[in-house]
Amino acid sequence: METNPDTINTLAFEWVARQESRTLTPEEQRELEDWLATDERHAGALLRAQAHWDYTGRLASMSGGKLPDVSRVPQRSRASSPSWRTRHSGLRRLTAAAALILLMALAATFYLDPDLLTGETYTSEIGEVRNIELADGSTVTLNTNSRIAVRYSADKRQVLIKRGEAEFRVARDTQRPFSVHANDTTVTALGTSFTVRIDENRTDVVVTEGTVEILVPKPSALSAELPNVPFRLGANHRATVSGRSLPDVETLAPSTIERSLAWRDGKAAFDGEPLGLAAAEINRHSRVHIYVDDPALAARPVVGIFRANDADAFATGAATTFGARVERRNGEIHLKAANSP
Amino acid sequence: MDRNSPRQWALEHIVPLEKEARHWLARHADTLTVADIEDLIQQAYARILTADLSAIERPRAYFYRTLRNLVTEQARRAQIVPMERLGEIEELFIPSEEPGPERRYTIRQELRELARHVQALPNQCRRVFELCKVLGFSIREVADELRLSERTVENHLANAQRHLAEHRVSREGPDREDRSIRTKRHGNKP
Repeated sequence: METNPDTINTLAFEWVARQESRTLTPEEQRELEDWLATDERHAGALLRAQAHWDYTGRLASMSGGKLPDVSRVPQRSRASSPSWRTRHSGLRRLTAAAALILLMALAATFYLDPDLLTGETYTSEIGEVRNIELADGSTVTLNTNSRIAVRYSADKRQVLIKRGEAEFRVARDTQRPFSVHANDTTVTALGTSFTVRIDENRTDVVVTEGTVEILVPKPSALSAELPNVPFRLGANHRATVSGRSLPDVETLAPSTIERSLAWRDGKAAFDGEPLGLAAAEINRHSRVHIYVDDPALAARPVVGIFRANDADAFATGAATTFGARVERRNGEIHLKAANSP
Repeated sequence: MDRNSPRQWALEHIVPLEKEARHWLARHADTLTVADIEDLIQQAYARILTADLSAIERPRAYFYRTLRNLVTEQARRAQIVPMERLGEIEELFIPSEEPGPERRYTIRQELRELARHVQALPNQCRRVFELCKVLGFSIREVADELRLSERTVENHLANAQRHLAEHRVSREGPDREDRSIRTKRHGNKP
């Protein structure tokens, strides 16, 4: 057993690096579990390494693809390494391309075409999930009760989300960045898959494939300090922008992403969300709304997959599971504790 | 990962104050060695895993309280406690007020710090970090381009992240007047 705390830290960071880059093999998984079980400090060091890992990653992704230039500090210069040039010219090109894309995205995202407000509009009804194929081969799936406007021009592809949620599978076209405007946030991609959802003051972006660039409104408190550049969000991440604060970035397990996209098949999947929240999600898809009248009942965790637009079946299922009562009146469904009046 | 997962919670509440908490320990408990402090920090993180995070209203006070309890527990277990340590435990009172906004690093300062420490990394390590974390390439892509095994890229990334975390909690910052806690551990693989 390692007793040196520095050794423990080293091992912890190595485990996080493996966890973050791929799925652990069963042997590694067992080895990790053994290691964690050996000493309380191992689990602590792992959590610490994960949290610092995320912190650094979040910071680095906010740099907009380039860390600030601190070259007045003496350094080993990158240019002085000839092997970098010769051996890795492919990657250099790739990096240059990334920088160029960033510039293009910047140019494109600072300007929201006013015509977009009158672009071609697509709408889905409550309870409907709608697939739309766009002119360039990109596809959009609208979740319930959503509306978007689409406008393509020679140098850009722009979508405005007016309401609801949409998943985008973007056809690759490096000449025309694909930008989605949602609330005050802009998400730009070249060829990738991602979902954008807006609620009143909140915009959620989930990336399922590739990388997107997100430009958020400057938080007012930090406006003088923040460089207003897009940050990159990679696959399996969710960014939440709400109000004028910095975006929250989370790593999502593949199963979580799968669940968050269940709506594409007309389903809603829950894994421990409180009943109140789950009912609100079902209500998005239904003209008949469910009200959970009892706070204790509203806090009960819901697990399962439901037909998203069948509020009645959901309410009946919840009532059976939690021993609650269903009352239907005036086109509303009320869930009540069994012993309530 | 929900908002109250230990990882998310530690990221938001503890990482930003870890440096300050280490200085607090070093300042008020003279007899703690650098290794003792590292030990206490690891244990305090471990306690987060079993805490009811949704019930914690003031994460900073919680983390300080945990550290103080750990120091006390350790002293109790050790049976023979250096005389000064007993006094120190009394002194480990928890600073009451939350740090004002001026004590928080702005994003721009944080990015400059990060850039400075990234530049100080060994060459290969730095390249891997920049490609993976700044430009968003995958381990696979970077391994292909640098003609390294994915395992090697992972190790470079782990090293980079560990060094950057160490710099974050030990860097000379607003607490400059404090006894500086030296944490030198470069490449001491097991």
